[in-house]
Amino acid sequence: MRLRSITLRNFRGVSESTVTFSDGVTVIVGPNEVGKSSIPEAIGLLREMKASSRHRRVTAVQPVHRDLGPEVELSLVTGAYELTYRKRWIRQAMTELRIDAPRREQLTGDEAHDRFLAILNETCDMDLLVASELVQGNSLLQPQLAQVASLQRALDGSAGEFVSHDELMERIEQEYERYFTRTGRETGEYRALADKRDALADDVARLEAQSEQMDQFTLQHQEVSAELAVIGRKLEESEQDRQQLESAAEELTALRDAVALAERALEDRVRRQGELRVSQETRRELIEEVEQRAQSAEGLAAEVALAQEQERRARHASDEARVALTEAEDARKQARLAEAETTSKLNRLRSREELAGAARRLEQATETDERRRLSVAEVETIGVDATLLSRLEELDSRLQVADGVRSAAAPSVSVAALGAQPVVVDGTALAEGEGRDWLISDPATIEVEGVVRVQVRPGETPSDLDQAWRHARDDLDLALTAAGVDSVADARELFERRQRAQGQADQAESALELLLQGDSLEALRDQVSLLRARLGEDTAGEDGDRESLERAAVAVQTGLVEAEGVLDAARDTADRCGRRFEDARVAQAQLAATMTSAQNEARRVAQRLDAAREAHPDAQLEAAAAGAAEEVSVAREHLETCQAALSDAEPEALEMRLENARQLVERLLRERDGGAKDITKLETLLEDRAKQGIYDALANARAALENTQTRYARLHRLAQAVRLLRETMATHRAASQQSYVAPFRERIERLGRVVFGSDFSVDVSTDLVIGSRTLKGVTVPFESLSSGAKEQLALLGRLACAQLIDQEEGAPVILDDALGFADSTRLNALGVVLNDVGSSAQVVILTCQAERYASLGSADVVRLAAS
Amino acid sequence: MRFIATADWQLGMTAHFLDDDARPRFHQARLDAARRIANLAEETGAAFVVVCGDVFESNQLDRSVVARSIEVFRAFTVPLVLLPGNHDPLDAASIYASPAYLSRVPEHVYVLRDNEPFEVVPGVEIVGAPWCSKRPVGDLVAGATAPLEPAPAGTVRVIAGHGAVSTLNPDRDSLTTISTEALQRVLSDGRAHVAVLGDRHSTTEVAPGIWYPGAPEVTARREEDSGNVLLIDVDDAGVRVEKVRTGRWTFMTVKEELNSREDVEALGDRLRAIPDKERTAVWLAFVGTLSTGAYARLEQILDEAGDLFARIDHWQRHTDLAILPDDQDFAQLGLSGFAEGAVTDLTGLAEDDGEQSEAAQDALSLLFRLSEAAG
Repeated sequence: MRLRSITLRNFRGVSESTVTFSDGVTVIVGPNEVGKSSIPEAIGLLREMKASSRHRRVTAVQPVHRDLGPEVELSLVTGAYELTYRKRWIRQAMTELRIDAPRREQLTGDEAHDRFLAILNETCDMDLLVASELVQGNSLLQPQLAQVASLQRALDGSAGEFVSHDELMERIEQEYERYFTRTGRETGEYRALADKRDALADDVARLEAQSEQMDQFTLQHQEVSAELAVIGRKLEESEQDRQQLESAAEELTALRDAVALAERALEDRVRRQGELRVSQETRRELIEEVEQRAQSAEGLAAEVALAQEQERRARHASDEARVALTEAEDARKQARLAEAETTSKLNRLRSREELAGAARRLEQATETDERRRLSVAEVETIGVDATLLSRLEELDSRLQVADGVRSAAAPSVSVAALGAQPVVVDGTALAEGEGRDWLISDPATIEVEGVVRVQVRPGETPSDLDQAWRHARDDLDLALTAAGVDSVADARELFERRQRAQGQADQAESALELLLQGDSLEALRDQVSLLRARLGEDTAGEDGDRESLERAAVAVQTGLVEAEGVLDAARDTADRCGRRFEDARVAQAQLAATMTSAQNEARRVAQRLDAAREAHPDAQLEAAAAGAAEEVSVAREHLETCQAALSDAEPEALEMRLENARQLVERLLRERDGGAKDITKLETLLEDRAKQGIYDALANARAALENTQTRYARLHRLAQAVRLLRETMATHRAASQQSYVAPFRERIERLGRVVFGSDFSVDVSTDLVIGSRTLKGVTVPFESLSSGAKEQLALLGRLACAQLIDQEEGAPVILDDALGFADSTRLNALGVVLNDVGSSAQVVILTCQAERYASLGSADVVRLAAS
Repeated sequence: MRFIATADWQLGMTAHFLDDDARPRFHQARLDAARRIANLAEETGAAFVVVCGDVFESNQLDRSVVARSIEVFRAFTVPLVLLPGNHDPLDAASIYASPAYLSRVPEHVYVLRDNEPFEVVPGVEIVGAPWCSKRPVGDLVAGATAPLEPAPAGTVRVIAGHGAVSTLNPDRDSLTTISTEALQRVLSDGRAHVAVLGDRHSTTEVAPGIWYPGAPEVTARREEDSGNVLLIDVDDAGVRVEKVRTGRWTFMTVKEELNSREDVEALGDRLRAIPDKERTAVWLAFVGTLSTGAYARLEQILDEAGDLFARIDHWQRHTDLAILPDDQDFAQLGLSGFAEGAVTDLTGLAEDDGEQSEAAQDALSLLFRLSEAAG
């Protein structure tokens, strides 16, 4: 379809205006109020609103404040038709269609409206018409091209027909969802059957195991039964064997009894023989004892006589020794008395000498002590000690210093006597040739008698020095007064006296100490008193001299020692003799008793022998012993015979065989019982299993499993089939869609490279929507692009569509105030694109800024002016 | 003297391969077959009935099955002689030793518990070779017949055994194999007149006078001729054996080559023509190549049949059926654009014979179905 011209009358602000369109690009320039936007609106109303309509869209275009009907007249060529279509709404509503080709027709009213639409439908793609209009304010939106049949035809023509097969795909999807979730997991009955199949397989396995177990029990029963039969037979044999051996064992017992009997008989005989032997022995021993005891008694009698003699001798010696002892004791008593007397005398002598010494020391000590006390008293009376003296000397020294200092400040005078004329200075005469210095602290007079008298006065002394000197002097005076002395020299003399008295006191102290020898004076005095008291009146003594006394004492001591030596010897002798006598007496008594006892025993033994001989004479005993030996020999022979019989019967082997036979029987009985128990247990188990009807349960489970497996296999096949079908169809559809959109995408890219550059590309979805733009390797989704880019891409989509569609089928591309977002560079580029599109499609551009499209090569520019 | 020989009743047997509703019917069918044998005995004047082993499917059966079985035993008006076989051996778990059996069993039912000749009716002895365990260690029949002297005059002697015979047993080394030769000697020596055996479910004459009566009702797909009993007459003229049909169930294998929609329709006709569908199990084995459309039709036919038959089953191991779309299949569905590409891919996979071949065939079939529905 191509527009030829349009006339608006009483349409919004336009009283009447006609625009003629070129076949290529027409740029309609005019301010908004002039009604440039009214042109696409008018075309839309013509198409969609009947003349009788009072729709808002219709009333909206009526001129304001003017009661006139808006009118549109459109001339166009579409398909084979050339026509002019006119409509007026609201006032004097009318519809008029004039067709000039291919056949002339003239129609009015609804007939005209319907015919117009019919022609459009016949020749145009209505969806394309709508899609091709880029109405003001929609410029950022992409056109809905997917439904545009003419574009589909154009695309199909280039890449094969595209059939969506939506219904079929939906059915495949539904079929797929019977078996799979959208994420491809098994679901529904398919999944349920798989689960059921697994559960049933478990059931079958369990039941098969039970069945197998029952078979095992049966088999075990059979085996145990067979074993039991074998055991039964063995048991019978073993029992027979055992009985035979038991009989043999009984015979053996009889043989054993015979042996035991023979053994006992032999023992009896041997014992009897032994008894007789003992009797003989006893007889012999008794005879011997009688003889021995008689001899023994005689020997004892001789010993007793000897002992009596020895006793008598011992008594005599003992008596003599006692007499000697008494004598020795007397001698020692005398010696002791003499010794005591001598010692007493000597002691008294020593005491007297001691008293004399002590009395002398006491006298000297008393005197020395008196001397010491006097000296101490003197020390105590003198108050000047070393400390005080040192203090006084220090104060004196200070005064000397103060005086020196003061004197140094005072004037001095040197006087020399030059000749014999006496020179007296302050009363002191100088010898001839003598020279002296005087310190002038006080007024002084120098006189050479008859010649001269010089009065020298000290000047004023500095007051602080004077004051220091006075203080020093006062301090010394005060100290001297306190010490009770007049001068330091006095003090020194007093101190020396004190030192001397101290020396005397110390000397007396040492002498006293020497005299007292560690004791006190009182103790010495007490000692003297004690000694005097002890000696009493006997202080003079008549015991002779010390030397003779000491000699006498030594002699007396020697005598005493000798007396005691004699006494000790006498006492030893007396003791020894006494003990000997006692021993002899006891030995004699014991021997006498032993002798009496031996004599008695000898008599009793002799009596016992007599009695025994009376009962069994010696000859009778001999005969009995010989008989017993014979009997023992016979019994032994019999025992040997019995033992040989027993040995021949092999008792040990027999017993071993018998024990084995018994144990074998027991063992077999145990095994039989065990087997019987096993049988009972197995029968119980079998009865229990039999009740369970395992076969039926297993058969049912197998049937269910097989059935489920079959159903599952069928579903599985179907599931695999639908999955494969779905995948294959999806793959092909996607490929087909891609090849379908390819020309469209390529066309957009061809145009777009003029605008955006050579590396421009787009991604176009199967519903012909631009998904993203790629520029310089950067891909940006459409929605994220800038408004300008969005607008330009949307326009490129429309223009690509216009270029692709067959010219006969195409619709004009109407752009109402588009490219508001484009800069001048882009605008220039878009001009190139529009020019290219205009060579094959009709493009109508409505704008209020003609300069936007100034670079558009082949455009017809129509200026609308306000009427 | 006339008697009925039968074997392998397998009472209590459950066919796990059947559907839930068919299984109880199949279970009941074995009891019904036994009841028909009772009627047959009465109708034909048989002196007794001998069952040569595997009377019961298992010693582990639910005892209620034993109780129901004994109820059927009561229907017999002649002596019923049972031989324990490998399924119901006379071991510690034996049904024949269970209180459930012993407390209920009627007097005219006998169990051959040893090799002693049993005089079932005057003038007729049965010598049984019962199984006393699941794994015996020798030819039980040989063991049972070894001590036999020739049958006394006027006495008919029947050998009842169970197990594979040496001339038919593929496992010749098996210890339990019954020596056909030895058994033939027993007959030729006059020690017995006829030998009837259990274990083989298809009615089979092993040698003159030696028969497998087979199971009176089918038990497995591979059986060639089951569902019979033998009506045996023994008299001076010798032994005459008549096979009498007792089975009501059919297990069949349908093998077809399918290469076109016409073949598929013909198969449908064949299935529809099978009588007693509720007592029939069918194993299907196909070879050939079908278009997706034809395969969809086949599935439809089999779905319908599945509701009617006791069992209808693709016998996968024996099926080699390729399903490939032909041009017409999808052309008429109006698939275009990418769907065409998908069909081409799937067809490639389907023809590739690779891992995904089957899934691709199924996917095409599914696409066909969904496209049809989508219109």
